Amino acid sequence: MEHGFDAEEIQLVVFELADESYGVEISRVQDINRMQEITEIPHAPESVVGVINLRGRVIPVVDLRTRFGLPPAEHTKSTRIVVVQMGEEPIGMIVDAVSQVLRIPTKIIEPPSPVLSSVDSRYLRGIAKLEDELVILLDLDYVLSKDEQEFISEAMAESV
Amino acid sequence: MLEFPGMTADDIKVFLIEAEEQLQSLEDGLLELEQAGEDDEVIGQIFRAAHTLKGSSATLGHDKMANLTHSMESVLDLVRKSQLEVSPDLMDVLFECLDVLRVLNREVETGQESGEDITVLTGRLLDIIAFAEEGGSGCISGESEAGGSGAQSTVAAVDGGIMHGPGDVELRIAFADTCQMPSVRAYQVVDRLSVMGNIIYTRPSMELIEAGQDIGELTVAIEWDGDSPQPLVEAAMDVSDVESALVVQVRPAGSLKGEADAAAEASRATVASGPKESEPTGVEAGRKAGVNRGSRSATSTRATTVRVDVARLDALSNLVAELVIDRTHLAQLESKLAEKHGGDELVAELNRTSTHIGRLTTELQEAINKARMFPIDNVFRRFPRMVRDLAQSQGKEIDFIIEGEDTELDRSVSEEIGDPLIHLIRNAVGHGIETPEERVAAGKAPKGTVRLSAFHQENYIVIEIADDGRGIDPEAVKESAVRKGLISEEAAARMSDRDAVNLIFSPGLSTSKKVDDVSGRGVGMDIVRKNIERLNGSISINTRLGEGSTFTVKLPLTLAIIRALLVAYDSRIYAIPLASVMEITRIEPSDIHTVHKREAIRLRGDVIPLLWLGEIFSKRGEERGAAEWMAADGRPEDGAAGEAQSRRMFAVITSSHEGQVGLVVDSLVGEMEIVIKSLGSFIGNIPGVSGVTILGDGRVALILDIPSLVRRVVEERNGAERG
Repeated sequence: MEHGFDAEEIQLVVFELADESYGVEISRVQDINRMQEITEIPHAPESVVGVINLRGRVIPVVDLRTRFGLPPAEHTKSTRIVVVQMGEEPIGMIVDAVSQVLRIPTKIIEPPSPVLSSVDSRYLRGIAKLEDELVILLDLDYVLSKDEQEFISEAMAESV
Repeated sequence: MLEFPGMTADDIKVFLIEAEEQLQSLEDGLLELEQAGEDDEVIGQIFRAAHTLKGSSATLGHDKMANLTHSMESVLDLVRKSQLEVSPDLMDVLFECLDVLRVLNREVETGQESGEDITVLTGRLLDIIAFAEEGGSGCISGESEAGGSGAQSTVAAVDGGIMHGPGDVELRIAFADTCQMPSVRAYQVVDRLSVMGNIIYTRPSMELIEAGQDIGELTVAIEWDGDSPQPLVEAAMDVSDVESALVVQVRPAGSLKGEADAAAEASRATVASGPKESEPTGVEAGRKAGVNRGSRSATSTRATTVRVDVARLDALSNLVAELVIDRTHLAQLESKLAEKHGGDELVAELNRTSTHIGRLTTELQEAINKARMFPIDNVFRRFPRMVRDLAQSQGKEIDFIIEGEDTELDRSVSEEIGDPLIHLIRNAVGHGIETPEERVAAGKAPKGTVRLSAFHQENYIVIEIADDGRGIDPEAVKESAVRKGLISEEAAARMSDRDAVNLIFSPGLSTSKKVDDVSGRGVGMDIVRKNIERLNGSISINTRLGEGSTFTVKLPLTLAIIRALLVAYDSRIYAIPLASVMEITRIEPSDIHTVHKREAIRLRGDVIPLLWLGEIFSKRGEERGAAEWMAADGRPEDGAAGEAQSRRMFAVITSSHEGQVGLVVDSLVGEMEIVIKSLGSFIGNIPGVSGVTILGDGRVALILDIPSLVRRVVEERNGAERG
């Protein structure tokens, strides 16, 4: 099973980004928030927009458009910050909109194909072919890719 | 892999905690013994520590530790009985034993065998014993005298009291405050007495004693057919940690047994009428009784303290920190409401409640902070041994004085402060104090003094390391700095003595001629200063050539909450730790001087370079720096008062090992306590930023890390100049 889902069915939070639908497992999603004031962190990795205060916790926020190399977009009323659990830390992702929560059978998930998505296939776990749309399943652990981490550690090394 | 069959992880944890206490007690005792010479009380303390370690390591199943402590105990017993003199050789062996015991103790902690061989040490101890027994046979008669002195008075009380002759004797036995495991001692007492006569009863019962219950006092009734109960008292006193053994009553044979049976009958009756699970109830009742009895003795102080997992305290602190944030927010909402609906009764009521909550929160915060405090003794206690070893290896004579060891500070700070202090003390011993010959030649006493003291000052703890040694020679420091290319010769010539001495905090400077074991481990004073500043603390030196040096370390009492100055720049709020702030001054464009194309201001004769927060923190392309501000000054239409106001800015003068720098900000928001939150590993370490804090209105503000901020800007500027 290439997508690595053991269960027969999975539940996804589906969000929109540059007119495409992306899904992450609901178990990884902690919170979905409206856009709020973000405190910029100077010299943070480029896709890190800053931090927000989520009920007393300070959470870094990543702009998924920047991360995926998509053109930037104005924030609108439907812009959301999806807070997911990445390892020990919660991390917020700015998305264009959150559209629905879906339950899909894992058998309709196909391996990622670069042809079907404008996003680097490293970030993808697979593509769920629904009747009327395609939902791209993100591999959250790779959304913060290795190069990005190297960039961070380089920045840290410089500071020492 | 080292395993202890039948021991749970908790058992091992308890063992480790107790062993650590005993090892420390052993070390303290040995140091005191060496310093002050033979003292019955100190020898007793050392003996008890070794003895307790023997007991607990044997229980654990750590044979090496048990064997070594057993041999130590035998030797110490001879010392205690004055059959062996305390010689430097003996001290060395005992100190070596202590070191090995620490290694063995670490084995338990890590579960890894160290391969430490104890046979050499035990051999040496046995030699000492053999020697003492050979040469000291004449002393043996003194044994009973020394051992029985405590018992003498209690027996005298019996003589003048109840009765003589065979009968049932009730003894009341009290244990020393310092006794670690009274239940074990109680067991030993009963065990010893039981061979002398039939035990009628004990209070608490044997089951409770064996269950390891905390015991304040032990009462034993025994059938005794001797004339005087003195042998019983002596037998009980022979068990260590027994402070006193008192004959309470002596009755005709059989009478106590009858009473005990009746009492047992009665208690059985109550148990039967109680809940079905009779055993726990019995235990509970026993425990209550035990505590009641104990409350009259000194053990009651122990019952008022409780060990708490640090994680729980941390969780509690976090909750209170959030409450502090909300309290500030609540106060702000309340004042906004008051503005909107001035005379409303509800608003007035809200005001009262919010004020009250505010006060409660402050008190709660203080209480939690206090709960997290513990004496700095925990950090200091390892130093006497270190100083002793250093002094010995360098042939120096040093009087090491510790003051204020009960000064309290936050756990988090005490965990971080150990290493910098070790370095400072090593320096004081290694570089500060001279050899006895040098001292005598300089007209000083051959024995030097190193004084380590701690005290509170406002919200800080101040730690001073003072020596009466040779002091720091500013000329030698300058010379070394010039030789290493840290400063130019002209700069050295101009430099004040004070600045010269402060050069020792520069990276890459060591005035020591050779790299030695004492302080030449590649860790310099620059690291010490860096570490202290990382804790939002500061360090300063006061030195007089030929008279000695004093290093003063100032640290916040806690790391989680600091006092900070909040400033605004470009409508963003930044927090500057108050420890870094020297003063604040209002500046206008005309105050600015240009030195090497960099802006600076003059403050009482000092030239202080300016840093623009925009230069550091604004996004590329939207920098708002000195140029626009000063250009705006030239515009004639700026005559209006409002405009003039807007052109006025503030320079926050900061100080760190990177020097004094003025941070230019738009306005001052105020001074407040802020809760430091980490940026987390996803964002990682950002130079110039030590963390973030949540403000009362929910916004997140960056906390500036002044030393790294200044270093960063200097590097960027240098880079720009070279590029």
